[in-house]
Amino acid sequence: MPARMNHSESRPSDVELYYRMGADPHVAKLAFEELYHRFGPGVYRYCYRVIGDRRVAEDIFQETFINFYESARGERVMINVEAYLLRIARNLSLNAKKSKHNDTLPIDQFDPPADECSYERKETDQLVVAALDSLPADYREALVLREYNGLSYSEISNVVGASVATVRIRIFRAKRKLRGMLTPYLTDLLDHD
Amino acid sequence: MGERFNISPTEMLHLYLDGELEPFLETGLFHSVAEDHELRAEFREMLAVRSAFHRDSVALYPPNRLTQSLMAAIAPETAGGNARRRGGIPLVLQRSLLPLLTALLASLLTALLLQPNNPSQQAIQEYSGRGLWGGIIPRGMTTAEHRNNNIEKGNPGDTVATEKNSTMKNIPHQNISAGNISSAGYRKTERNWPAREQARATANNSQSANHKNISADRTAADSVPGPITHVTSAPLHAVAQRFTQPVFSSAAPAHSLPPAGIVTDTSDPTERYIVQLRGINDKSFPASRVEPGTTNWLDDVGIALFYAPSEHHRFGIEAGREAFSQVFHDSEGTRRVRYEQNPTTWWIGAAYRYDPGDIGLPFGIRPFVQASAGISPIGGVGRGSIGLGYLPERRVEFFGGIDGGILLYRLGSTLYSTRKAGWTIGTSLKF
Repeated sequence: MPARMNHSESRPSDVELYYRMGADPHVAKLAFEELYHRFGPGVYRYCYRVIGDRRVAEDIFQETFINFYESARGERVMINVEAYLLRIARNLSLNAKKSKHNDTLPIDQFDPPADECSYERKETDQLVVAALDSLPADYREALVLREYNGLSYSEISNVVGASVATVRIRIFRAKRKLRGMLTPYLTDLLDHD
Repeated sequence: MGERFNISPTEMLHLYLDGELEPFLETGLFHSVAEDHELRAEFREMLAVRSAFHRDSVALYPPNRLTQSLMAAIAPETAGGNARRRGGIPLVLQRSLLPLLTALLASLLTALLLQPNNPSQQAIQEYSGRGLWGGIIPRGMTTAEHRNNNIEKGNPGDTVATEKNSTMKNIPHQNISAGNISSAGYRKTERNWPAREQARATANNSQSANHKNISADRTAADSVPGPITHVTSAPLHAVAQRFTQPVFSSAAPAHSLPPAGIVTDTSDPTERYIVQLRGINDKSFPASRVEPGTTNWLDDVGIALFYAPSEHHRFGIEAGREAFSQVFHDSEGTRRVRYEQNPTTWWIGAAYRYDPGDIGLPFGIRPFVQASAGISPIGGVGRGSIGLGYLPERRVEFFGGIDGGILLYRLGSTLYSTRKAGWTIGTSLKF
C-alpha cells in the first residue's frame, strides 16, 4: 500500500476535477477516478432504481460515465457535476425505455440489501422498494432523486427539466401513493424501527 | 413561494421532511401535528419509509467488476485486459526482453560506429590504434596483413607476440633498456605504456613502415578483428625515443599489469561526454493487479547524457519511460475500497554517476553507483542504481546492476509514493 502523508490542503472541487479530465491523460484518469469515487454510487442507485432492470441499469451506468469522461474533452462550461451526470443517465434511461416498454421491475428480480438486519426488516424493506418500483416513472424518478441521491427540489428540477412546483407535486403524490400501498405493512415497519 | 402559503398540513409535512418547508411555516406545521393524530401517524410512517429507502440506498453500490470494466473502457492504455499484451508478445517476456534488446541495440550501434570501414572509426583508430576488442593494429592494416608483413620482414619476436599474450609474460625484465631494445624488450616495455600511448606510437610507426605493403583491394573478411596483436615493424630506435620519455620510462612489475585487451585508462581529457542507454526492469511496490498497458516500444528504457569532469564522476541528465503502479485505499460507507492503476509515464531528471575505477576485479570489471532525481507528469521521481561495468574498448562500456526508484504524487490532500526495484542493463559510449 502506498505510504500516506497527511496534508491540510482541501480536496479539489467537483468542477475543478471535471476540467482536469480534459488535461493530460494521466491527470485526467486520476480526476475521473476521484469523480467516480464521489458520484458513482449515486448514479448507480439512480440507474438501478429508475431503470429497474439490473443489466440495463449497469449498461446505462457505464455509458453514463463514458459519455461524461468524453464530454470533458470539449469546451463545456460545468456548474454542477452531479446534476450533469444524472442528466446523462436520465437521457440514456429514456432512450432505453423507448426501446423497451417495460419500466417496472419484477419483484423476483429484486436484490435484497446486503446489510445485516432481521429477516422481518428485510422483508418490509423489500416491500418498500417494490412499492417504489410500482410508481409511475415520473414520480419514481423524482422520489429516487430526492431519497436516494439527496437532491433538493431545485436540483431535481434541473435534472429532469421540469419546474420546481412540478417536482414538488410529483414527490408529494409519489409519497402519498407509497403510503397508500404500504398501509397494511407500515405497522410492521414502525415496529422494526 | 407564495403558492406554498396555501398548502395543506399534509403537504407541509412532506416538505418539512424533504427540507423544503419555509422556516416561517414550521411553527404552523408543529401546531397541526400536535393537534392532528392522523398527521402524527403519517409523520411516523413516512420516517419509517425514509429509513427503508436509506438502508436500500447504502446497500446499492457499483460492483467491482463494473468499476474495473469502466476504468478499462475509459483508459485502455492504462488498464488491464487488452493491455496485457503489446504487439502480440506476452507482457512477462516483454518486461525481460525489452531491456536486453535495448542493450543489444545499443551495442550493435556502437560496434557499427567502431567498424574499420567507418570513416569516423578510421579517425578513432588513427588516434587509438585499437580495434573494438583491444588489439593494437596499425592504421589501414588488417590483422592478417600485419602478421604476414612482420613475418616477411624476419621479425620473429613479432610473430611470437601474435600467438598469445601469455608468451609475453615470459620475457625477462633485464632485456629492457632504452639503448638496446630487442624485439622482446620492446614488447615488454610496451606493456608498461598506457594503452593510448601504445596505440599512438604503434599506429604512427606502422603506418609509415607498412603503408606500401598494404593491398588496395582488401576483402571484408580481412577486416574482422583478430587476436590481440601488440606488434610493430617500425624502426625500433624511433620507438626507443618515446620510451625514454620520463612518464613511460619506468617498468612496472609484471604481476601488476592488466591483461591485454582490458581497458584501464579512461581518463582521456578529450573525451568528456558520455551517452548512456539502458533498459530498466523494475517491479512496483505496491504491485497493482492492473498490468501496465502501452504500445510504446520505448517503455522501460532510460537514456542519459553525461559530462565527466574526471574519470570517477559524471554529471548529466537522464530521461526514461516506465510504468508506476498506483494503489489507493479508502472507505465507501461501511465498505473498504481499493483503487489501482498502472500508468506509464515519462520522467526526466538530473543524474550523477560515480565510478571508483579499476579495483582489481577480474577482466577489468569496475563497479559504479548512479542516482537521479527529476519529475514526471504524475509527480517527482527518484532513482538509484548500483552495479558493475565492463569496458571492451576505452570508449564503450557495458554495465548491469540493481535499480530502484520512487514516484511521489499527490491525490487530493494526500501525498502517495510508489517504490520500484529490479535490475538494469545497458551500455554507454564516450565521445
